[in-house]
Amino acid sequence: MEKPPIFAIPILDQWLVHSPLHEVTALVNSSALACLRTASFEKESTLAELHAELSAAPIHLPQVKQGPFDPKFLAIITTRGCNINCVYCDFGGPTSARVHMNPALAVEAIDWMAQRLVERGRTEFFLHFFGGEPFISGELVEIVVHRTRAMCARYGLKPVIDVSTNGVFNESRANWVGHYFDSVVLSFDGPPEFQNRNRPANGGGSTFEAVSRTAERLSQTPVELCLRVCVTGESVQRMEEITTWLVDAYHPAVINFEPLTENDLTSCSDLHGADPYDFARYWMAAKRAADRCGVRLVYSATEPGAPRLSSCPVGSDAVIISPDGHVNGCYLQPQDWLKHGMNMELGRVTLGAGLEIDSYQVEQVRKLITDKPRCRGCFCQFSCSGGCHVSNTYNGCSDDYVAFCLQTRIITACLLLEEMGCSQFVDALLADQTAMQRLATHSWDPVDLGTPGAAKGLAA
Amino acid sequence: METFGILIVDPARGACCSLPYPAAAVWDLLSRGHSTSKITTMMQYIGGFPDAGTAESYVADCLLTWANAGWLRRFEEGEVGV
Repeated sequence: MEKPPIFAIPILDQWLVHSPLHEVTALVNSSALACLRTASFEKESTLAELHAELSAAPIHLPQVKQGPFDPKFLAIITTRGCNINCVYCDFGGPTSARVHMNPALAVEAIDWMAQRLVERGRTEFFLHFFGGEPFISGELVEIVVHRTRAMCARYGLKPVIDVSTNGVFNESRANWVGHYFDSVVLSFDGPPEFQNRNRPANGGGSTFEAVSRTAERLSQTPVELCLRVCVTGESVQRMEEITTWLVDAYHPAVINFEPLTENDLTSCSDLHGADPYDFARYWMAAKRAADRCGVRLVYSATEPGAPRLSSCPVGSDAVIISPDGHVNGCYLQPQDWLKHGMNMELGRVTLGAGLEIDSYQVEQVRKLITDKPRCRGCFCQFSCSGGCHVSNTYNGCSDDYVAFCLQTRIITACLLLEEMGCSQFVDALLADQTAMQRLATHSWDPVDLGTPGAAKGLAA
Repeated sequence: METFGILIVDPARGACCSLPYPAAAVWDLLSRGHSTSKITTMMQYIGGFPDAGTAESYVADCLLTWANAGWLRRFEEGEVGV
């Protein structure tokens, strides 16, 4: 990276100056922005101070991983099959065969991972279950959890185990999950009219009661409960109400609202994505409702934390094992990558031989997260990082912002403003459609700062 | 459930016992109603036992030890309980 980028984003008649790599954000008027760009300010003024902070060496310098393969995270896809029939499923759940991973392959992967972690002096073993629906491979999940805990006990590692699940299982299973897992991401689209419309049982029946029971049971256990809600055009205006209801009924630690990604399946079901401006507006209302209850409300593209080049495991040397033993760098299925000319396969698990990792492929997958033409002018490039590398910012995608970008830009700006204590600007922005559009569609955020001494003149 | 095993407690006797892995897994599987043969099959993977016979012996040893220490009791035919 040549020079850490400084961004200026229009907020009503002001400008949000933001440098994620310096952890600096300021709200300035147009004159002040012009002064920063020409370095025209008095010594020891506020603008001089801001200019100096933005010109200093950055605190963060996110980079593509280099060196030997260095996994910190193991994900096991126990099966691609599923016990319900979500109309928007991107992971093949409703149509995939219920083929379960051979437990011996899972054990090979766990043992290999534990040894790598110990060799690198790590102290935690992060394990994630994914599907399909992982718990239709219930015994396999039990084997994997216990084998992981046994290996962690042997090597003095702390197990950190989580799962993404639809929650359609019995109370006994819920109780076990609540005590053996650290966190559960439970997909739950809200009241029956949304849950049953979007996430029906096989055959079309209701899943609401089963998932509600699971959420209630989990909320009575030590596990961190995250309720993940897919927001559609039908539910977007009810996000605040859904938030309050979820908090009262299930006491989650986290609520995660993600917008529906339209695909062929959703078209067949006449299910449509939310308007990005509505999503941003109602997400912020929901966030404030959640904040009042002490619950964390998240949207994956704006997760706080250090600047990053990827908002998912791709590029982080994550080890994601598919049911047939392929080791991939992404949760999606091979046909999803291949149609965009990508190959996320990193290697294979072989019985008796552990994991064989292809170092050339590791380098290729690491590089996939960089150089996103669509993101070059966007101030969210170190937070949302382009979203899904496979379905959103794949090589050859349009350079123009899409709905995902528009809502992400608005929400990110609002969160930065709230962090600065400028809630009144958030209110005014969200009430002004034209101002929201100006911010959302602003195609080039980076600005150059002038060099002090090169120009003389204006006071701050 | 603890990080590296299970702590079992019997309030009636004022007794407790810390079970390390892999015995902790046997206790968990047993307490949730898996049959002994199912537990044996699963323990082959969990405990990394070289063959089914070794896993079977290990599970049998656990059950005997816990029974002798008063943590387990075999229900008589027709008896109802947990």
